[in-house]
Amino acid sequence: MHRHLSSFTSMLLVAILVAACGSADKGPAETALKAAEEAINSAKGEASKYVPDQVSSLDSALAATREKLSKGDYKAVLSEAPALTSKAQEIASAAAAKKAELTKSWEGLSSGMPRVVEAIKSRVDILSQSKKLPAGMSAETLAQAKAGLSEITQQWTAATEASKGGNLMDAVAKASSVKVKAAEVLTLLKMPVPEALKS
Amino acid sequence: MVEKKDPWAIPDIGPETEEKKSESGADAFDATQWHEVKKGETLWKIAEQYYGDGNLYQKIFDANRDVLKDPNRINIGQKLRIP
Repeated sequence: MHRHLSSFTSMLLVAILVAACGSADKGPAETALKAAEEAINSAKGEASKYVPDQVSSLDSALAATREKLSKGDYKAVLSEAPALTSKAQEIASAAAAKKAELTKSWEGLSSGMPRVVEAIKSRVDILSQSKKLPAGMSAETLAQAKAGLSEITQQWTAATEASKGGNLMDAVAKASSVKVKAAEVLTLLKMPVPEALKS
Repeated sequence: MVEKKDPWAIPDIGPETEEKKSESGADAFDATQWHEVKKGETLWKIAEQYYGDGNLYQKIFDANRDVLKDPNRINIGQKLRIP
């Protein structure tokens, strides 16, 4: 009986110790998670614009770690929170790099594309005044070029507005579709396609 | 069929001295179309080639006023901007 009691006491002590240790991890776990949340929130502003997929993935990981905190799995939180903080810093760097890349792309497009559009417009205007179209060009081809020019003009306006609104991703995406359409129209008009529109 | 008389026909007077150099290669967005004048060509004929209508020769002349002083005088080898 005495032996059984002793064994029970030992087990109880172990259980209390484990619980005490777990409880001791609670504060550090909360602190670590808070630091991770702060790092993520700080990175989110720009990162949501430039690397939204990575932000979404990080949000999911944060939610999973929060869940572990609420379930008392402090050791897991202590293990995962620093990784979340590191990932937030990586994402902030990735967003800055993407922003720089998009800014460079936009600068090139915004200085070059208006000249391409102007060249197309000039040719369409002249051909519209022609009494007879050049060899190999039908009225239908010219109509297609005019429709293409209209589409290009609208898309370019939308790209410029997106840029002014700070949405470089959208601006570059729209400008890239203008590039593709402009190359098509130049080909229809039998005009040379600039190098920048071939890539 | 008699070809329409070209009012801007000029004799072959040799290579152009004020050749407009192509800007291609320097600017990846340059969509300028250039035409190198060949023997017997006139602005009228060039306008016919690119626009289908020789009457539009003035458009080419206007775009090349930096190198052309007279629409009747273009020279072999001269590079003209086609707007």
